[in-house]
Amino acid sequence: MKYLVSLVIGLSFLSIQSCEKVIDIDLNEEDPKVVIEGNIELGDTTHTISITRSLNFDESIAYPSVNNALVTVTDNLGNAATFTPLGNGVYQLSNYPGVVGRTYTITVVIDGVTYTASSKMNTFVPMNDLYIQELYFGQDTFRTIISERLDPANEPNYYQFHIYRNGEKEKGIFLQDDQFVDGNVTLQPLFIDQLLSGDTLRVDVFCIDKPIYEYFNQLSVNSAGQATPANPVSNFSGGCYGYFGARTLSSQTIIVP
Amino acid sequence: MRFFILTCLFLVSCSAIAQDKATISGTIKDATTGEELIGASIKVKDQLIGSITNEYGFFSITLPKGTYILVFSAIDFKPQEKSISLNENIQMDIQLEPMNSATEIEEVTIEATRPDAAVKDPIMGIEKLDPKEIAKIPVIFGEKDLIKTMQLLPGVKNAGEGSSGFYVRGGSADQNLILLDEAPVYNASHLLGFFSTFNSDAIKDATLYKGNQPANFGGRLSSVLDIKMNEGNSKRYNVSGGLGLISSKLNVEGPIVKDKASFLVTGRRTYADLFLKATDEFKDNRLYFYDLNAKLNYRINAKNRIFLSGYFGRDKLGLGDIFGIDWGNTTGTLRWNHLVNDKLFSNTSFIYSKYDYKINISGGDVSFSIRSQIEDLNLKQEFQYFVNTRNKIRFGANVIRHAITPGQVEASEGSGINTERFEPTPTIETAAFITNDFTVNEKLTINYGIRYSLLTVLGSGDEMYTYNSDGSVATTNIYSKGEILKNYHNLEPRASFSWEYLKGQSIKGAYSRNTQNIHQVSNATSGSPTDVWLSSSMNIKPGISDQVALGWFKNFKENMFEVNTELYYKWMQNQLDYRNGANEQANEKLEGELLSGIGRAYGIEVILRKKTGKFTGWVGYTLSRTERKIDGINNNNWYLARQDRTHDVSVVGIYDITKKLSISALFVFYTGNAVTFPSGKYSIDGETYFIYTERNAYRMPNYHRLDLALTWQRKNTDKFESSWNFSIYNVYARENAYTITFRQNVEDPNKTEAVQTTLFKLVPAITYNFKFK
Repeated sequence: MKYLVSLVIGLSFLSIQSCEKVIDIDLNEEDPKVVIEGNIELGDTTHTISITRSLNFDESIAYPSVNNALVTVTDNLGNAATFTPLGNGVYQLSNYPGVVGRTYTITVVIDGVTYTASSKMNTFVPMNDLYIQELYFGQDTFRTIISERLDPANEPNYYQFHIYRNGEKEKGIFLQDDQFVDGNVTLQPLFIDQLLSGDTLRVDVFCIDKPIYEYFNQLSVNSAGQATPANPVSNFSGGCYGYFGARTLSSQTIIVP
Repeated sequence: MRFFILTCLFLVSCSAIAQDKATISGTIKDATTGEELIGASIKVKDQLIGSITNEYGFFSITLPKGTYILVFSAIDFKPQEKSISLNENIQMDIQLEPMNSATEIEEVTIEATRPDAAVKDPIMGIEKLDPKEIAKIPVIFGEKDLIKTMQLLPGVKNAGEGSSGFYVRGGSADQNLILLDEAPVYNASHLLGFFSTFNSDAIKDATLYKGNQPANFGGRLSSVLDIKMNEGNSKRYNVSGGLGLISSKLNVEGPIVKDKASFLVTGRRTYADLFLKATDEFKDNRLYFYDLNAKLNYRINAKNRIFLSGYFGRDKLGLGDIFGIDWGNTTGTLRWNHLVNDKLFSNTSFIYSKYDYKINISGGDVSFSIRSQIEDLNLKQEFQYFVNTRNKIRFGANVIRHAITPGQVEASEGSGINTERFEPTPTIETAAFITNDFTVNEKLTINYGIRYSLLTVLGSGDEMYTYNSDGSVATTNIYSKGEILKNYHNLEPRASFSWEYLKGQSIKGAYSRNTQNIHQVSNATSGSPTDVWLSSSMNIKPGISDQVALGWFKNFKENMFEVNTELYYKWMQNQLDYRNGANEQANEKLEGELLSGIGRAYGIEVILRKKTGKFTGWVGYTLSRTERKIDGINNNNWYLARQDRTHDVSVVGIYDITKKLSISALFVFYTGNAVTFPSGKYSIDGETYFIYTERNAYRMPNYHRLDLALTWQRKNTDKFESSWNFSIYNVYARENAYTITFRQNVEDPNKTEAVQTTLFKLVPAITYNFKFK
């Protein structure tokens, strides 16, 4: 009897483990749409806009680039400039320093259709420290990345992180808002796959505005397998996908001990 | 309203023009346990006059003075006859002996309790579940479960594989009022839905109303699941229990003072975590739940009775010290049954109900918790007036105070996280109702009534907001605590009839309006313990539904078979959904994340049951459609609700091979849920994301599976009883899709693919049940 019980227990636990398989689904097709993404950065640097087109689900990933666009930007004081096409869907602009507090409006004209979007450059918050913290999980240790900042009090701040491990960008969307940490030294941990000693880590912290935060938040919620996914709300008008942001950057690099 | 009351009085009075009459009242009980029997029948022999016991086992029947033979009966009990000479009001307590075995049931040819109840009862969309029947039907992990069995009935759909969440006739999961001894249970799921909170050993009776409930129930749009706990054996002590693979339970009951006071305590705990401890990989994980039901009841005298019942349940889930979440319900009911006179029965209840969850996160220097709860205080007074053999009136009133804390954050010093406490938002729900069961003649019975409901929104003493259509804050105000900010009044008329145009065949019709003031919106596929409850407020209007139903009922072969067919159409107003990307946790501006719209649901439900004999069971089929139209979703067009399933079939068969051995089988088939799949993809920040065009325009694959179970009774003596239950879930290991997700192929990142996850393929289970008497 005892043998039978343990056998059944074993069987149950084997079968409870869920299984995954790749399946074929006949999905609808949609006409390709313009996808615009890009940012105005703080200070005297190069700003980049890239323009591609969307694909159907089962097409191989090689997003077609759009090279015939006219891309112009203006701020709320009327300072205007035009981006230079570099090919491959990339458009760049230099000698147009981004300033905190200004609102930038971008206008993109493709085949006679105009797409516009605006974004405000929020307060610059520097990263004060970047380090690895160990969390204990029973006998296992878990290492996370802490990017320490002092969040400005009494204003909403939104952060986006890019993490590069040995020069390669980590997949995923890393965001933080200051709902619970307003005015504090913030120690939000960033979790990525097992960190190895000797890995070179670079973390970029961007201060972004609320619509861009929400755009990326919605994107990440969708990819987390939400029950009813929907497209994130783009700040572009004119019927394209993508976003346009004004942002500040603070970056640090460490070697994982 | 005035017209309505006048009509009531008229209907009552015209049939009350009396010759000399007298009343027989009392209770009907189980002779072995002393438990009151619900729905047992009292009939005058060879006449059609009769009545049934109410939910407290009480009956009252008024007849012209004279000599009668009364027949008392109930399902699975031996009928009893009693001759009386009725010259004055009589009180009597009847004790019925149970029929012990299947063979004995077959031998008795006398009509059992209202076997034709389904045909005669004017209430539509009603399903009664017998805990004894539930015990034989196969279930996952071998844990018999009331809600899982209920999901097999037409019009009721589960919220996903193995889930105890359910949808009734196209309503959302929060539109079901689940009552345990009158106390609302806000989250009926354990372990993320794989178990329901109801320990079936503690349950006496369960009734589901699918939207056309009489006016004494209110507060939810789609259904009422009314569960009554056992009262505890008042004759002798019993210890019973079950040992299963996943959980074990123990039940102790007995008299405190014989025939006067009794108690019941039932506990249950899962121990999957004990197995996890034995593995290296998972030994620091916590994953278990426990629950406890307790009840005391005391019969002060023939006219007064007091009950105290409580439920306490908790789930705990955690990963080492880093992350933990626990959640659970607490309910308490103090109830006083009072017999005002032979015809007037009073029930006063004071009810407490709470649901809360707490998330703990700690790591390094940071530790904080998020807590959310809903807490109700509820006072209810109800009268049942047995006017005469043709009219039974219920009337009463109810006041509930809800206090909702949507989420507050407590953080340790130096964690960099601010502690945020929100004052609970209080609302008061008041209701009054009157309803009459009116037997017009042998063929026509009518139930009609009206319910008035009022929701009062009060100031919390904290900041309160109103919102623009884009969800941004429009106004911020601080109102003093208790200040009345808004009143929502609603009148809910209800009516239903049953017309038995031929013996054993009836046509029924019903209309009901229901309103709902407590809402829960879920973003997750099958509900999550952290889904937040919200009250109607300055921003959220009460939900309203209107349901009409038409049905045809037939019994044949001397009530051995029963066919019920119901058509329904339901209109819904003020239906809620989240904006995309809504933040649910500890969000004081959560109401700004909601969108509101309308809904409609319609369908046909057919069930064929075989109710007696060695082979029993049913075949159920539902054809239905459920849609929503919410501004801001799907370009403001109608779309299918997630729970829309075109076809839904369930087949349940139980066969008693011998007195001691029975086998059962269960087959289900349903159309996959309506889901949103991508139509394209694009690149952002060098990563691929998907494009979604229409909401819920795709279907999950069709779902089907077969379960088998064998129940083997080993011993059955006066002192001890034991049985084994073996079951297999999903016998032919069908790979049903739990989720379908889309991702980039790991080996070839240029490709995107759809991935189906299957949860349960062939799950065997074994349970040992015992009882010391």
